[in-house]
Amino acid sequence: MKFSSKLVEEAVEAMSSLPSIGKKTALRLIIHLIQSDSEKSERIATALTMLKSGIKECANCHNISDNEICEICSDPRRNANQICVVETIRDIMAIEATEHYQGHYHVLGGVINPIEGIGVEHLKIQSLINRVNQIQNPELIMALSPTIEGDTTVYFISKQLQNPSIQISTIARGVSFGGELEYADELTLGRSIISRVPYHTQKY
Amino acid sequence: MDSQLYLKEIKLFHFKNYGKASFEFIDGVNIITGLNGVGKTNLLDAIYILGLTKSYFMASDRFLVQHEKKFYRIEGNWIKNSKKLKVAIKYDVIDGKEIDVNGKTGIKPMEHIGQIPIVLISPNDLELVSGLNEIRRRFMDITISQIDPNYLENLVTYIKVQKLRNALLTKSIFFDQLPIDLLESYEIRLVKSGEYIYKSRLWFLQIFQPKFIAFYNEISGGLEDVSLRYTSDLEDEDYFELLKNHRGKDFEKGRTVYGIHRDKMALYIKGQPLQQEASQGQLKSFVLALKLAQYSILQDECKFNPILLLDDIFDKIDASRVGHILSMLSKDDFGQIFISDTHVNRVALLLEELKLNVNFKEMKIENSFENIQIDPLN
Ligand SMILES: [Zn+2]
Repeated sequence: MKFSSKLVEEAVEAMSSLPSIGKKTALRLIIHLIQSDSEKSERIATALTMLKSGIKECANCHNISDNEICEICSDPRRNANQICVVETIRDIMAIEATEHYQGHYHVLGGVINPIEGIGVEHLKIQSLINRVNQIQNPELIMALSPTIEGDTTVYFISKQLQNPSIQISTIARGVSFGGELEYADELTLGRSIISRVPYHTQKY
Repeated sequence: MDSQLYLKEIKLFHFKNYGKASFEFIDGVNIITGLNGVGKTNLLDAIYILGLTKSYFMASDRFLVQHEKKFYRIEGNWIKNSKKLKVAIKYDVIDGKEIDVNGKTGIKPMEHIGQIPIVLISPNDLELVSGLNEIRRRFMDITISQIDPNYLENLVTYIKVQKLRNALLTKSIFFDQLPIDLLESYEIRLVKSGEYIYKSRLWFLQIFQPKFIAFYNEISGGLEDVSLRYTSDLEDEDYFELLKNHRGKDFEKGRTVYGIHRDKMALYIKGQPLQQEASQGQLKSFVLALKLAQYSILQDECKFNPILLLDDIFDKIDASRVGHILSMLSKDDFGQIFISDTHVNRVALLLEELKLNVNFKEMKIENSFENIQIDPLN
């Protein structure tokens, strides 16, 4: 692609570095911005700068947050004894969209996979254990992907938790469940989060 | 057998030498003739893929796509228990494989394998008795997977968990840095799947062995002392203890040494290992007996006559033996059979000579390009 302007070229390059935005789409967006009021571009630029400098990771659950502790963790109406363990923040968004869950979350950052070089130390497993140890009657809901890596991670975590009063369940994985959590439609996920099955390490 | 299964029609798109082709078959013996290289074997392989989701001959699907094309698609219209069963297997070099059954997409191989039991006999099968142990293990796996979907699921799990455990073993520099808890999590899963596979293979050998011996003696026309012996690391030790006790050895080797991945199905004649003792004729009889016993066990366990694919069978087996096989199979009633042959009319004459009560249809493939049917809309 040839441009008559270095400024346009740089803007297109920057825009197209985003996932699923090609050069053509980027150019279309840039031309749109050139033809719009300068307020529009300024608003986007400011929002992006603020986002990167202001965004934090919740010290409790590792969700994205504006403050030290995220809105979910600081909401007094939510049940702090109940922790839904997920892989990514996108899983939280999918579950929140169902409006069927009133507990807290814990973002692991993935599942254990030595083939990909993801060890226990790369995930927020120790912080989950610390969290659970501070709760009186903890209830864990494991919402990890229904893969062998997901299964072995659930087993590993449950073996690390020594608290005898802990209740562990996994979300029900129906046939219609599309594999990874973020692809599950809201209805399926909502149903899964309600119909949980108790987890027993003997069944592993 | 009151329940019946047969392939009525197959459609091929960009599969090997077929650009676009379709064939109709009868519920009986389908004889496919044509010169070498016109695609008879490819047609049989396509039928095999409809049942097993993988090629009999090629490890990678990439080599099944027609030259310079990006995908292949095979569609089979089957009749099973008087109901239509439509199976489509598509492979795209970028998106991979997709299995559709009766219009439902995204079917997993383990959901489909076993729905259409298939046995293929090819001139290359001598490997089964003279080749590596791995080939006989695969033979057991393909047979049991068609009977028990849980077997395939456990096998897939076992292979995956073993890879995870091996990766963990190689990632640590010192043995005492190995995360033992995680290692144990993998071992417990390995034990569960491994034991399931071990028990299934034991069960398989138990019912397979007498069938195999009976077929062998029928083929060879005598009473020879032949046997199969299954051995496994799991047979006299607790598998978890075995893994636990050899963590050090596994760490040094960087892989899981013990397990069902090195099980053996050894072949014996007169108490001696087959490879050392047998004549060419005996080896051939062994292969055939293994295949016919496979047919028989699938027939019993799947409650259907399996589809039998005989590829270029006259190439390695003389006509009298082929006749013998057909007579044996026809003792019970026939399932659907596909036979490929380079000679026009040879199988048909043989069938008439044997006076077998079976319908047959012969079709000749002249040149694969002539099978291309131009879509009238294009
Ligand atoms: Zn939080």
